[in-house]
Amino acid sequence: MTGTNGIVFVIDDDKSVRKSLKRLLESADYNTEVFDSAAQFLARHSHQGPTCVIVDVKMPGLNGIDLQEALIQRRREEQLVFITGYGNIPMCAQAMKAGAVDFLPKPFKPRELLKCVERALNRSTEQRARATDKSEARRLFDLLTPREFEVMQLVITGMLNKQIGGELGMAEKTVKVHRGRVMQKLGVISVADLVRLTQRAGITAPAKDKTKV
Amino acid sequence: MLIGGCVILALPHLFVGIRQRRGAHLVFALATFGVIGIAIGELVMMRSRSLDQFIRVRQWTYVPITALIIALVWFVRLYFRTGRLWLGLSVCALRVLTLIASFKSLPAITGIQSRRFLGEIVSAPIGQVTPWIRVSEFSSLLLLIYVIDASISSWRQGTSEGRRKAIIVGGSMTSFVLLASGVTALINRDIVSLPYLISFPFTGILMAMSFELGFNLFRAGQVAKDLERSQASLFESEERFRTMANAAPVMIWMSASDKLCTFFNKAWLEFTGRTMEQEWGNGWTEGVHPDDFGGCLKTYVEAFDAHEPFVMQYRLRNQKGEYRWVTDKGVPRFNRSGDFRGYIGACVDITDLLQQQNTLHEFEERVTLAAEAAHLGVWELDTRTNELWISDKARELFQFDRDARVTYQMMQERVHPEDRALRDSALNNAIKTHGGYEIEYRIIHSDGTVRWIGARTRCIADENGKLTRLLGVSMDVTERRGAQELFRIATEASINGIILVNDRGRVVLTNTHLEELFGYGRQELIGKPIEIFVPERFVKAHPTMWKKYFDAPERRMLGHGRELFGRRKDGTEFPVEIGLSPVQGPDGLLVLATVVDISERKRAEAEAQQRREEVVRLSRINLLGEMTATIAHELNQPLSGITSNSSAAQRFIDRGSVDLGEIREILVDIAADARRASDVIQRIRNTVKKGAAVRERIDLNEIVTKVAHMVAPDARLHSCELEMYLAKNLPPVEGDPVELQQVLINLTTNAFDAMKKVPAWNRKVEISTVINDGMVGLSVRDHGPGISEEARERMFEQFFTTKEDGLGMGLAIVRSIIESHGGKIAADNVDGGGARFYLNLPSKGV
Repeated sequence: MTGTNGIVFVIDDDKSVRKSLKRLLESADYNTEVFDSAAQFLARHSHQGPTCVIVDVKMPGLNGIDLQEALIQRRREEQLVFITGYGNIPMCAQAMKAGAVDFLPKPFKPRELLKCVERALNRSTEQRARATDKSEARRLFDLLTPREFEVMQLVITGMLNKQIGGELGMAEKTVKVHRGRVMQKLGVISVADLVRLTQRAGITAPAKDKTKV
Repeated sequence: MLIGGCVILALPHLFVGIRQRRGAHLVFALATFGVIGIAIGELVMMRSRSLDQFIRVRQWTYVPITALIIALVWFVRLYFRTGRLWLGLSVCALRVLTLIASFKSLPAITGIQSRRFLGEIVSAPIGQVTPWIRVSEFSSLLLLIYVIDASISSWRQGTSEGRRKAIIVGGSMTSFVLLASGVTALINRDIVSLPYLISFPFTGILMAMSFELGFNLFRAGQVAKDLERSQASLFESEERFRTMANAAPVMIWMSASDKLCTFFNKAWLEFTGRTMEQEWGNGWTEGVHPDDFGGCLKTYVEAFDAHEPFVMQYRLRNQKGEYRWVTDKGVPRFNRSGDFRGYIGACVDITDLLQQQNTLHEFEERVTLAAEAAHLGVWELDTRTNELWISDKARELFQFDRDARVTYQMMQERVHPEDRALRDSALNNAIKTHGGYEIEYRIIHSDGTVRWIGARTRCIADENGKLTRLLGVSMDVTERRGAQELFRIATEASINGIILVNDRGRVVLTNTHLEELFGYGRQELIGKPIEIFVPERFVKAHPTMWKKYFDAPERRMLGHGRELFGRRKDGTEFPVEIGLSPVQGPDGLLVLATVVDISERKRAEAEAQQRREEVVRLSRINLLGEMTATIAHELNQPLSGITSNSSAAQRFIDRGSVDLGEIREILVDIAADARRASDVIQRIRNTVKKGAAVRERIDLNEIVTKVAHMVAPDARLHSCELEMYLAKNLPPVEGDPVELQQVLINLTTNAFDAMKKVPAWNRKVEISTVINDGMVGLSVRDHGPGISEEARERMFEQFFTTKEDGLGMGLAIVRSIIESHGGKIAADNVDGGGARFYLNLPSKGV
């Protein structure tokens, strides 16, 4: 089962494979779209919603692995399931390391495939949610002034105000003031909440050279 | 009485002495007269009555006595021819002295007395011995010694004559002297009273001499008789000689020891037309040509004086008045005792001979000139005299000086040591057969250079078959030999077999390599027909072929399109390559054939072919390995299709929303996929299996259509347009449809790939089929960038690819498939842009 807007894309240069996969997926009530090449797929606009991409590794032109790289480069979040007429371990390992959901050799068991698809879509959903979450959290942090941000960064490390003041060259008082504002803007009460929020936003502890995340 | 006797005996001696001029006898006669004188004196003395008379007579008697003694001495000397001269002379001198003295000095006789002697009363002297008497006695003694000595010498001579003389004459003289002197000495000393009687003992000598005379006379008579006899026999032999001489065809003459000619035979006389009397003596010289006379005479006289044989030529006038050349040979003759008796000689008319010689000489000159002009050296050896005549050119050839004396030996020595044996054997053979020989041999000049001489020699024999002359003609053939040598080196050095064949199809020349190839020795090949090298099954047709070639000779290789074989001596055959080249020889057209044994090459080719096939097979297998991935892929596609379709169908049914139509479609697709899978497997089988291939009658147009359908999605994907131009009534081909499909798919896919960079509006692939002259042709043309130079050469190679991830097997497989179908594939660039792959397959039937 998919979310209302979950889609499964199938990319394979072999007509029979495309056709049969489409049937299979539709028989499992998935929305499916088929493409005969990765290029064609990329040309389609990105789908807003959970996505699973079933892609053959060996294709003329852009092959599956290439697609994976292209997507990563473009920071697209599609979940990939690789299927292939032949595969070797290095290829498989590379694909998995690069974040594929699974790597299935043909002929695959249909049940297996469907499971993968489900998993992919779930992951996609999660990811999307996380992404939304993140962007929301981030927006909050955008409300902070630079000084407040800096203070916030050190607060989440567990430093005392006095220490923070020393680190940033502020009076303890000033630190306190900033701290208060941060808490307020972000809508958190405890430091723990703050920390969780930063995590949601994907903000990490500052490096020594104070690079902004 | 005594006187009378003396006179009588003396006379013959006198006669003999005068007539025969023999001094001895004359002297003896003189001696006898002396004795006569003495006897007269003695008689007178005996008769004298007065002393004065006696003394006077005695004085006068000394003269004959002296004369007697001198004569005796002389006689001894002449008759005996011995006797010491000094002794004799001293005797004479003493006596002369005595004579002179007797006239000057006083007589020694003092008186006379009468005595009775022989019945008469005679006067005997009474005297004294004076010194002069001693002198005379001494001289008598000397005379005695002289006579004895002479006798002994005569005896010692040992001849019977000498001994006889010694005994008789010498003995008697000795006794005379002894007696005479002895008695006189006794009388003078008054020991014996006798009258002087010197003359008496003389009788002994007289008698001896008479005996001698008689003996000589007798002997003379004997000699005369012998002489007469020998003269008779001489006359007889002379007669015989004369007969023979006259019968001889040669002109014969004889001369005596005085150089005057004594005899001319009939032939001579007939020749000159004169008589013997006319020619006698020096008469014959009138016939000698005045120009030759001087020399003739000189030769004759010189030889005559030296008693040497001579030969001379001069002109002699014959009876017709013509002068003819004669050769005159004279030899001295000696009698049995070795005495020179004169000359005997023979003349021969050599005019004709001379003329012949002249002609010959002229001829020889001409020949020599001609030979010289032709750079030929001429020489002639007279084997009897071992004299060699050699022309100037020949001298040059053999490096002899113009004027040096050359012997045959010297010529032989010039010959190169290695060639001497050959030349000698050729010469000996020629001598045996009275023929000639023709050889070439080397000579070494004194500076070491080697020249080749070509020589032709003939042996000339006389009517007895004995070798008389060797004639030779020689020529320097170094250049020709050089060229020949070069040619020989070249043919020998060739790594191919070489045969030179004449227009009758006979082998003229071979080289060592050829002999090795065919296993023959050179002698076995020369003169044999060329068919000796041809395998038996072709021998019959060969001469015709050969003749055909000769009618139109040209340089070419034999055996285009067919295999040629050569037959060895042992019958085995081997493949050959033959090249023919016509050559104009001195005697006509020759053909130079080069023969190369190509069995090695053929073997290498066969091996290479085998390897190629092996490679193909291995590559196929390898390909298979390579293709495993592809195969797996190929199989997995339909398989996954099947599984997905069948699962989908089940789910539809489970859901309950069964659309039978859709189910049907699913099942159809499943079946198609299954078929596809099995096709792939079949293909694999075919690829691995050697040989046994699928062979069906295929319409290529159908294949094209099918493939076009199959690749249509691909084409769409690549935005390429596929156009087909199919020929009508295309004949079918025999082959494997799947493979041919594969070929076409490959080509079209390549075409699509090639046009990636081409603007979409121009991405056209044109597939056409044509009928090509009994073959079926198919081409796939694209509008891509075309084929690069490097790619063109290598594109059909295995593992050659221009694609980054290409295996490089596609086109190799394509070619392999097409070639195994008996066809050919190639590619080139099209004028309008792009590449075109075209293939031809043999058509089967209508």
